Amino acid sequence: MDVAGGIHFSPGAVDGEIIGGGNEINLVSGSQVNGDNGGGTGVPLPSTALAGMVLLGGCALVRTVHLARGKA
Amino acid sequence: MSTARVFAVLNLRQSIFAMMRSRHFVMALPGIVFCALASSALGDTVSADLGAAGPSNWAILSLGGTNLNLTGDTLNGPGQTTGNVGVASDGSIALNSSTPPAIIGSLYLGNGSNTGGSASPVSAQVSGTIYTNQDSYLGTGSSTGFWTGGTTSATGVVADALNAAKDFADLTADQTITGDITGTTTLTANGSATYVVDVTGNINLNQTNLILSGTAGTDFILNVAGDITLNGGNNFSGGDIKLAGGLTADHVVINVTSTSNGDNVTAAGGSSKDPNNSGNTLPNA
Repeated sequence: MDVAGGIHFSPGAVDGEIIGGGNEINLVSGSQVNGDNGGGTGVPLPSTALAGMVLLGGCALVRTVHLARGKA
Repeated sequence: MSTARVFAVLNLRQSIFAMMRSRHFVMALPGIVFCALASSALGDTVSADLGAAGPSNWAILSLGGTNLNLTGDTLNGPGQTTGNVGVASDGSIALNSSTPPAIIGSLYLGNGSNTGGSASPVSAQVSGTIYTNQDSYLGTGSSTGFWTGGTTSATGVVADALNAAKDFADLTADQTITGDITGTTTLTANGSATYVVDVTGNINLNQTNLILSGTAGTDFILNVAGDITLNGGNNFSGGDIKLAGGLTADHVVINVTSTSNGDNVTAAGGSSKDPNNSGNTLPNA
């Protein structure tokens, strides 16, 4: 992950995820990104903002569980 | 303080959210915000901290922000991306694979994002669905001034990514490499749940490899203050960051902490890809 700068592959490959926030993510000449999600829809469907809220709520719940584990 | 102890403190501090956020910065510890792999006894820092920005959701996540001149993602063929791609506002993505689809997955665009410069029809470049107006989930925000201590008003997935980057960078290093890594090098985790290596300079692998080694389930955080340059040469000999010892990509983060908005990560090699060598491989760049 490079939240400030850019990523330029010509070519290159990533097994996992690229997070970029700079000028560019430029993947050319046969570059590949092989994500863990395999093209699935691991994110909430867009028409349902509520879905995102549910996801976040679920995470908050897990956070609480972690707290308990941490205390234990 | 050992990493294991740090992790215990991390969990304890989560009992009170406000206190957690306070210690989060003072003690330079990561936060737990996600659930997918959170039950792992070893090393759940990576998935937990990345939250909704993590690799279980995305193959490429392009952060946006109206204060940045971004984001010109260009996926030119014949390369392909397997997984979902997110382009937060106000980024853009150009899809021009000569062997479409460029994205084997779905494309999520923020309200201000666009697909300008793509081959027509764009739908042929995406095997899944193209979702537009996704600010409510992708979020918005800018990384401008982020590394220099500026607070961010980012939201959604963008916020998760930015906060995770800060968290990873703030972790206490188990090992510090002063200067550059230029030759074949192996960095080995010491058995703790989360192993953090800080590189104060650049990683420049010219037909040499960097090997990250650790047991399965270990979280390996590599913070790089400079640039990463990978060169596999004409035959893709080297130029890789590889994993060993059971370490898996979903437990590895390469976190570039440079404040430059130029190309901090570059990879290049021969004119064609060697099918027997992935070449210039990075886990979770």
